Amino acid sequence: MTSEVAANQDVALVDLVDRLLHGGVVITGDITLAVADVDLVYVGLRALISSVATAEANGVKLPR
Amino acid sequence: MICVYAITRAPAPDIDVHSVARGGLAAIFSSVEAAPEPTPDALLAHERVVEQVMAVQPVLPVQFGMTLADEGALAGLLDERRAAFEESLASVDGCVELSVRVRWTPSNTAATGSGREYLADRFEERRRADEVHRPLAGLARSSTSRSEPGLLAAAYLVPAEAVGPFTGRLEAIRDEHPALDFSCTGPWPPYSFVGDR
Repeated sequence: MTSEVAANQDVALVDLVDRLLHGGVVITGDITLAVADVDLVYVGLRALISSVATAEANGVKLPR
Repeated sequence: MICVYAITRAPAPDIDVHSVARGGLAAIFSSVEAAPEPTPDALLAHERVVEQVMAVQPVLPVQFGMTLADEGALAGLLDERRAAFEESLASVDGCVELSVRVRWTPSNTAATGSGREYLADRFEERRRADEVHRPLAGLARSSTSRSEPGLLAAAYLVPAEAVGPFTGRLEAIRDEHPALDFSCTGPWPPYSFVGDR
């Protein structure tokens, strides 16, 4: 994969994490996610990029 | 324990989750043993459910990891916050969220320059962010943005039929600003426009 494609997927994943963990309707006051967890998610999603690309190459529809 | 994905208007019978309906509102949820951890798989699974609902009706995406005791508690929540949910659903109806991030190399006079140079740089940063953000906000029903040196991160609530004109305008702005690095993602469910931020 080109570095540009990798960068674009990185941006999409950062946008996804931002939205799911910081946006959306809050229905309880419980704070379930610590900052340390968020850092782990970013690391995990970066690690996921290659498998996402593989899945898309195989025609699997993934969230944009 | 249940994990909640979205508030919407009608149950979603076509996807593999549960729904509870209360007089014109519905909540989409699944049963879980414990509050979900924010793993990549769990985040993607949450997003898939929300997007499947969004494909057929207006949706208020719920923040990842929100759990309640049971279906009864969720029904109570729909009753309790009915007015706010209905108002939010009307405000996002027919719209999608688009994310725009713009990066540039910030001037770095904070460490070495005079106070006047520093202020001039901050003013220039602000002007640059406005040049991108204002025309795009004009095409959106609502918008939100934050900027810092070298970055503008904005979200736009755009009517579905205006996505084409929006991205066209964005491309024109990009062509006018070759020194800026643009990225645009979406269409997202309206995470940034559901009132709790």
